[in-house]
Amino acid sequence: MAATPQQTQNAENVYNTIIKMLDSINFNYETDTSGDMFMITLTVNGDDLPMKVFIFVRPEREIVSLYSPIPVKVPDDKRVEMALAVAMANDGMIDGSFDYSLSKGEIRFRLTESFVESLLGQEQFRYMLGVSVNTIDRFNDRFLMLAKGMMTLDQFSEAISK
Amino acid sequence: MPATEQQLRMGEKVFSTICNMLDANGFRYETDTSRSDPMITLSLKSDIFPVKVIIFVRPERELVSFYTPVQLKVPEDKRVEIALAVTMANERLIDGCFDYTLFKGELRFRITAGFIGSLPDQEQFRYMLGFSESAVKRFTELFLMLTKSVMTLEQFYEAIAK
Repeated sequence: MAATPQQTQNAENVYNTIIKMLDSINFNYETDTSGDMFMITLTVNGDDLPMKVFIFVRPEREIVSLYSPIPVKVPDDKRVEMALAVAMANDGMIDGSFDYSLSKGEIRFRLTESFVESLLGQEQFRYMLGVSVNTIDRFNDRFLMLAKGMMTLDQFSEAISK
Repeated sequence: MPATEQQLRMGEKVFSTICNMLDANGFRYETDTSRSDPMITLSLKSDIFPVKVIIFVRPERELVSFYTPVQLKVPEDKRVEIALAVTMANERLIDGCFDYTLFKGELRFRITAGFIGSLPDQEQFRYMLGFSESAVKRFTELFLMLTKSVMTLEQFYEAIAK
């Protein structure tokens, strides 16, 4: 279903608020407003690994989604184990979650916020970015160690429960 | 870190907005405001299975979380298979996620919204309630069929890909 003019206007407002937030903290980013949604791409330096972040503003659904792929390709023989690790990581998380493609061995962090009848401020998007970076930083090296056989699932469970 | 006065006031406003939304839609619910994170509990009508929703307003984090437990206890011999199914389900979701406690065999749907520097409207919470209900209704039967071996993991994948 196509977005209404009001939904498109709301999405533009949200998009502009995110851009202002990124400008205020001097982040470099790229934008793509040519499609039926607004996209912003940026790279954030975490404690361990750089993180690529994609932000989609979807007018017809009135949501903003932040996706960040984890730079780990899970080998075939570790894919079931990684599914259990992702379940452990998500369980107890307060906001956001890791999506895991079993068939591709790919993991990404996802955090979504709705702007249905709501005006979201820059603080909200700063929070989204901050919580995403913190959560990814907490887990990405552990996912990597598990994928490389440098950590067992039991060790992963112990490490994240601390 | 305890909530500031401002956060507590915002938390109270958010709590009232959710209650107003539930009243406006004729829902019956119970509240517990004695907690540091005030809670609302309600049951949604369903022909197939009961859907219970537990809402927490967390002033110190400026977040609202809706949790919907899936009425299912996964037997031990199916726990790995359900973990794989949960990753498949989460990958399909645009908002919220299923949390899975592997060692207990318990599942719940979680959707969260922030109210940092913004006051969400009733519509925002109606969206969260509706999304929770539809996600849980869509997947519970499939998770159940998988645990009862009425469905294989491949069939589960096909069913959710439709």
